[in-house]
Amino acid sequence: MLIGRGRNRPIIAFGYPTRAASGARNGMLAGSLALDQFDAALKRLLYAPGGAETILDGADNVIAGPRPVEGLQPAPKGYPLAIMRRRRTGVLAGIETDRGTRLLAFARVEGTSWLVVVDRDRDDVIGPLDDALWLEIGALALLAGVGVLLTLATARRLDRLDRRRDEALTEQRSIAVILQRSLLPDLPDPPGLTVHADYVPAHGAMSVGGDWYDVVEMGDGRVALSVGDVAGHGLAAAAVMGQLRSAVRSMALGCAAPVEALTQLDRFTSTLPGRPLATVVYAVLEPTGRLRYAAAGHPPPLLVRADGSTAFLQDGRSPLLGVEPVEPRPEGSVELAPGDTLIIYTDGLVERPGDTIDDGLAALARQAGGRARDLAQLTESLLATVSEPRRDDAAILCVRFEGQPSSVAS
Amino acid sequence: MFTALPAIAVLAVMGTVLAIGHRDSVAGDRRQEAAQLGMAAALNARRFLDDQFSILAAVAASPVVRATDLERMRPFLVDVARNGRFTANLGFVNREGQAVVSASRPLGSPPIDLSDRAYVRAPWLESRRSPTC
Repeated sequence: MLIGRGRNRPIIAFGYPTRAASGARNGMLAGSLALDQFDAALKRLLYAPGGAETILDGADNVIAGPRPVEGLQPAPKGYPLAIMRRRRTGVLAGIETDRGTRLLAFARVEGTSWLVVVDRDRDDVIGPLDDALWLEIGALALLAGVGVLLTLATARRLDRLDRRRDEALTEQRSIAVILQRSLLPDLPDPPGLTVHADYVPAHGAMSVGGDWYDVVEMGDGRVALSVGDVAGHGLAAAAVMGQLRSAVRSMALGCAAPVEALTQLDRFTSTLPGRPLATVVYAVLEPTGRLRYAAAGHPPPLLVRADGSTAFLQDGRSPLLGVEPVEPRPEGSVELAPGDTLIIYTDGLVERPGDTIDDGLAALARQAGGRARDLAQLTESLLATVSEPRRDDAAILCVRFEGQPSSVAS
Repeated sequence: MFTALPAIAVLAVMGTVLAIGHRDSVAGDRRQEAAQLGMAAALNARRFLDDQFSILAAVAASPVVRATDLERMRPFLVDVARNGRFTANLGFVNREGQAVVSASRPLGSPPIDLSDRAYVRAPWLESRRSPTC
């Protein structure tokens, strides 16, 4: 834009050709207005409320702007004038000028070299947004942090509780195992018999159960055999097991018949606190090989003949102890021949996840049958058939009848 | 045990992305607003110039100018300058580039040579209105 200098002050000048009535050019009109008045006039026309538009002429002088224009002033330092002239219109953000970081929107005035520049403080435009953004991100981070801390605290607390529970259960299990082991007897070595027994607890802290086995020499050449299982697990079951095993032992010494022993044991069970339930096989093996037995709610004993054939002893079965007194209880008997093996066990040996009890019994018979084996090996192989992990404890008592002892036979 | 950690992390990332997206969207709107304001201001400036040239066009079409009647032209130009925002001056320049009538100077004052001024040369030599913006 041409800037004239009338009376030593900047002016904006306009020229307009004129023609005479004949049509020939006769001169021109030259009009001008002072720059400050031009600026004031444009302010009324151009500026939106709060606006700060600047107009640069072709020589990059400010001819209108947010502040009163009283003389020729150069464009603010930092304006990317070359880019603005080249592009004619556009927006440039983050421009560092002598007014600070600015947001510049610019547009060329049509038909002129003037450039209108909308000059905004970047912080006015972006700053609040950035503040809000950081506020939002900060709030999110805070929430996430609180969440993480809560999760960590909860996890650590749960971990501690788990550890304490595991420790408590392990301790309880250790006590129960020790108690149960202490309650299980060292087996005698009756003449004419080979005896072997074993007990395995189930997995898990509460897995110690109430299984027991016992062999009692009755003093007249007969041997009482018992295998039982108190319902439940843990210390309470192990304690009841000890009481029942002791009762069985005392009854074995005073009673002749298995039926009578079970009847008294049933009565004894009903006197215990909590009326525990229990299953038991009680058998008396006479020196001749005659076996009298009774089973109260217990899996049937397995007889493995010397030739390897097997048979479950299904007679003499009655309900488990502690439910309802049953009198008289039935009794079964069978003759054992030398080399025959009697296997009395608890249900933990034949119960398998997903299988019926009949499947377990059949597997036991298959495993136990066949050629004769050392009882320790037989016991080990039978316990090995128990599925892992064991859900229930298991007790097994194997008695091999070797033949009538010579002292008795004579 | 730490299943909540990934969920919290994902929520935080999603929230941050949304916040940044929202911020960018609003910032884009502000930039667009500034750009439109700039174009509107440029249009208004152009209209201001056109208004001034329209005044000059009307003066040029007046009988006193067409008749090159310098005596009657001056009071006319004084009135126009006062009402037409030509606050610095309004005058008539003859074919030699001499300002022979001026609203700010008495008639008969020595003419001022403006022949070297661009706003005089452009309309005269190129037969177009000036300023040559």
